[in-house]
Amino acid sequence: MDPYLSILILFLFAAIVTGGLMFLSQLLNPKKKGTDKTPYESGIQPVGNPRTRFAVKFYLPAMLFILFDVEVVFLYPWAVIFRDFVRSGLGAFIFVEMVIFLGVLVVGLLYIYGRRALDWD
Amino acid sequence: MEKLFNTDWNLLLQLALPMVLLAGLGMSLLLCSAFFPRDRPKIFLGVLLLAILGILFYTWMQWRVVVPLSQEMLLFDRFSYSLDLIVLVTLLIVLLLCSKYVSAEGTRSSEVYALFLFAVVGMMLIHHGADLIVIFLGIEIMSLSSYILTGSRRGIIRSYEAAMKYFILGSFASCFLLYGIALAYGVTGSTSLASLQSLSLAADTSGNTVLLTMSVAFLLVGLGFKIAAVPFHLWAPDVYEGAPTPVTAFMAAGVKTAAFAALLRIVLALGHLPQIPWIPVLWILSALTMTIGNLVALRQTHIKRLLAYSSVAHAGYLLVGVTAALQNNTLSDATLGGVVFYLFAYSLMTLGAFGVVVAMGHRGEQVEELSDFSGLSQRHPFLAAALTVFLLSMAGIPATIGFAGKFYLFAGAVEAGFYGLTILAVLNSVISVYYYFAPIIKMYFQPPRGYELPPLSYPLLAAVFLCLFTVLYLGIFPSDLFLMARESVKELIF
Repeated sequence: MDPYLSILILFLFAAIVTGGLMFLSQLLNPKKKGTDKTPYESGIQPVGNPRTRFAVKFYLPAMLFILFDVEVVFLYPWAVIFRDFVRSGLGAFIFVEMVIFLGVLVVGLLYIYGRRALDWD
Repeated sequence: MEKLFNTDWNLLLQLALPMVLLAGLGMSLLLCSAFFPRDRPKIFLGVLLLAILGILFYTWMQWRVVVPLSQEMLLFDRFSYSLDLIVLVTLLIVLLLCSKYVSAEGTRSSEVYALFLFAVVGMMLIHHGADLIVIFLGIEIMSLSSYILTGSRRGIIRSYEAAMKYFILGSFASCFLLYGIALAYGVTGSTSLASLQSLSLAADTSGNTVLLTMSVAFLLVGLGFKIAAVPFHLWAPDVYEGAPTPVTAFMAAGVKTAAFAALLRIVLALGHLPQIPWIPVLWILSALTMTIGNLVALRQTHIKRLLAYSSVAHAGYLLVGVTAALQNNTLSDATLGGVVFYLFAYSLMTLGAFGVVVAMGHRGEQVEELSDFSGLSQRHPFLAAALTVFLLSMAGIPATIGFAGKFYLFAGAVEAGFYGLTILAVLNSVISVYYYFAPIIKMYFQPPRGYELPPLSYPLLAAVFLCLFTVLYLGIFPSDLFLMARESVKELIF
């Protein structure tokens, strides 16, 4: 079997599910004539304008969250290979490496804390 | 994993100490800015200058004793240490230049200094990268720091605009670079320069030619953007104009040096691939870059835009050297030495010229039109003389470092047999004399304009004097530095 066959199957599955669901909702939705149309949203009446304004204050915490979130993702692969490294006698190396990485992150956290980037007002 | 067992961590720390120290200093500065409410630019500047002088000395000692060593991810040879020396000198002079700018309102000196340090760490990673991924990481660290520095002129729309343009176009160029790396990995199964070089030396034509050509093309687009080669240079004038002048000096000298380091290492590693028409591509790139850079510079009336186009033209001259070094691998230590020498010469004269522009700045408002230089010789003879020397050096007039640099560079090109390209480069140098003389004529033959010259600070004067002295001294006695440059490229490893 070709190793890329599974990718092709996944691709076809995604295309069928997406296309099928769009076709189904097209088939089942209520058909209205005239001009008083509302956007079809799974059959629920939409409430309010989607383009509401919100405070710019959300921007900084959201940005910082993304930064740290992405960096913390590195902990997962590290945890997965940790046992292999311990078994081959390199436990100290991989541990120290992660401590250094987290140390750099902590400096960043202390910096945004000290510059009051996390204060709401 | 066997590689990890064999790694001598003490040796590695000893070799990479400059990078570790600079990163540590940068992080301590960030912590200082977070926990000390008062900003103390003078103390920070003093401590940093001492530290950088120490690191400079340590790097120089490493340059003298280093035995070429590659550790899969990082490599240490004289070439990388000599480029480290260039960017450290750049950092030293830029820190002196920005002493007035960092004490402006709303700017924290410790943050600006920290960003400069992080950018230099990125540059050193590029110099020492033995793997395309490490080089990419270095380029990103350097670029992200310079995007922020470009936008650090508080409340000035031009600065924000420049930062945004630089960020968007720069990220786009990084994507090209990364895609090129991915394709190279797809064809060869490795991103390490050593294995790419052995593949290229074996003249192995089994790889997929189309993918390989695409990969090299994308790599050249990404790197061409970072060195501002035509046709990827359009960001340079806008960004150089909008950025604070010390940052412009840093980008023109340091960022360009580091980007050339990446280009040289990658081109020399992949240079023997039989599928790629390297010499014609680099020939055309360099001819276009110097000709268009110089021709557009003729029409500029803004000193920073003029210097930006002149830096594009200088990238073209450097590409002449790169082409020659690639063509003539047996003689390449003189040719490649000429490129390293020119990188140093170019950095010094650019820093000096931008230093004078910083000194002309008037109460936060930047004085940048060419007409503002009218009659400077009567109001401040030292600044006028210094700018004259830097501009003459860029034009390549004898007794300046610029002449020596161009001489070595073009001599290498002639040795490699590129007569046409050398003639074009010399013609371009003649064209450039015209626009380099425009500010000189304004300074010496036109009546002074009636605005008050701001008082000059000692760090600023020291920086301009340091550049002036080096440009003249090494212009008259260039042979020692050229020997050092040749020595730097003798044992190039990948």
